Amino acid sequence: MDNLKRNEKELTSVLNNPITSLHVKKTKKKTPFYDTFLFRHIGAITFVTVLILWELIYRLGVINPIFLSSPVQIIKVGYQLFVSGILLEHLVFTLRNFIVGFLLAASVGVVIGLITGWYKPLGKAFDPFLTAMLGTPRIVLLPLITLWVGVGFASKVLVVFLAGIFPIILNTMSGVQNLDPNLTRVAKAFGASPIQTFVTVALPGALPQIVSGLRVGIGQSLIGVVAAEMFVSTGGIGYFVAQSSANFNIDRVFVGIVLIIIVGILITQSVKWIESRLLKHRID
Amino acid sequence: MQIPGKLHSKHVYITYPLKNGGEMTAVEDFNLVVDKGEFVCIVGPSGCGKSTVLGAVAGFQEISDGQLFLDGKEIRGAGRDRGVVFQHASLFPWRTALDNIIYGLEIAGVPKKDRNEKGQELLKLVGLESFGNHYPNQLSGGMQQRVNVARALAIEPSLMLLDEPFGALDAQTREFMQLELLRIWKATNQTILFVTHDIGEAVYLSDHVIVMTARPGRVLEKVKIDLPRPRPLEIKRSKEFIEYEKYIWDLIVTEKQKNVV
Ligand SMILES: Nc1ncnc2c1ncn2[C@@H]1O[C@H](COP(=O)(O)OP(=O)(O)OP(=O)(O)O)[C@@H](O)[C@H]1O
Ligand SMILES: [Mg+2]
Repeated sequence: MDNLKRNEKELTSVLNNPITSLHVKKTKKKTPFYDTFLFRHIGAITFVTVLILWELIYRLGVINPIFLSSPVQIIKVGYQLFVSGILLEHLVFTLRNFIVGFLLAASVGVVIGLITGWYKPLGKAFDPFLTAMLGTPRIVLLPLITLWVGVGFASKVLVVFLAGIFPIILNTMSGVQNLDPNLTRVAKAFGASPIQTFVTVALPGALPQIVSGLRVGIGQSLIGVVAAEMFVSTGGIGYFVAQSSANFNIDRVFVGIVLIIIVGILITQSVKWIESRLLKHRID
Repeated sequence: MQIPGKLHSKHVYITYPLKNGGEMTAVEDFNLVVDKGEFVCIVGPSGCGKSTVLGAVAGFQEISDGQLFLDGKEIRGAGRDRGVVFQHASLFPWRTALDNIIYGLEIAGVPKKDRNEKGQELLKLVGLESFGNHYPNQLSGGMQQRVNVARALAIEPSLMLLDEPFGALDAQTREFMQLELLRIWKATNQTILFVTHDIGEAVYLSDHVIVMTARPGRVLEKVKIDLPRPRPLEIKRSKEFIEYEKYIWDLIVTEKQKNVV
């Protein structure tokens, strides 16, 4: 007991010693740059700074307000449009085109990708066609599509579908083609039938590539829907932006653009989230 | 006709096609009998055809002449009567240790409850009871190879085939795994055909060491290892052990030189 108390005393004297405590303070003060508040929030800080500069430029009248809106203006007009329900109406219109088209692209694309990846000759046969389509901005097909199916719902869905499906097919296909041969051999060693090998090796093995195909596809589909709406539509955010621009309503143009940016960010983030859940154990 | 042993290789030839249209003989007149419950290792100079022989027994590799028998039946293609342990990390990265172990049972259509029971049993056998839920990338190299061995054992094969399973492990882990493998071998009464380029490993594990010639690979000599069992790791420092090592080493070196000349 006594011993313990003595030890305690010694410890306090060490802590109170000006030399030792100085040392403690010194190491505490030296925070490296990457640990500072500035560094950790550098993205947000830059973002806010740009917005403020933008607002200033607008207020100082450097640029003719016919050509430029401002953050405050965008929020103000955006809020009015939101309350009046106009914005929501266009958003729902766009999302409907987008979701239907993309779900079709995803399901058909994955199936085609799996089949063409699994049956090598089939993959080889379609490869030039697929590669050509992947390298082409599919929006160029829009005039043809309107000629075939008109300018209604089907035309937009078809554009979204075509925009998204090729990266999905190609990624899925290469995922199946580039399976680890060691793993397919394991399946064979355990007497797996071709179908069992497909289900237990090809499908899970190609999953990372399938997901990355879907991610690329979703981005392209989003581009597709907005572009299609700009050209042939009577609704949707793309239409809203194009229409507002034609009417020289610059604030509305910016509101539409910001809305698309938000939708894009939300979609990308949710895909990232799904991806991280799905592929939790692959990242080493 | 009576077919001897558990595994019987009778005048087996294996050739690989060459790019120029010809063919290369990798294994030539390969004769071998492995009895039930035996532990047999194959050693030989690099590229002599060890993996090729094992692949043929596993059923991946077609033989161009001769016959291979397992339990008196001729081998045609891969099958669940042989459990294969590969050198490379061949575990499914998306399956837990337990789910990897029961892969073969799943393929065989064993009901879920039964295969999970069997899987738990095997996890225990290979000393990984508390790691059933771990994914391969959460296991050390040694643990991964335990899972690999357990996966091959799960289907209760008639013959176990291992191709340099501990080749990628560090020296200490490798020795420990050798000890463990002998324990598992005894516990399961398996017959094992094991390929390695590590002579010490072969002598330590085997009842018989098959020394192969340089390419085209034939059986140069079948060396009977008369060391008592169970074998503690210390046995590797005994005089008899070192003599076996030296004997086999000399065989292989002479063989290599022959190839150079
Ligand atoms: N798929 C193949 N196609 C053509 N030749 C092959 C093939 N696989 C192996 N060979 C050749 O057959 C010979 C035997 O190869 P094998 O892999 O069986 O040797 P090994 O004894 O296992 O060698 P190592 O000790 O290096 O693993 C080698 O010369 C190799 O180049
Ligand atoms: Mg080999």
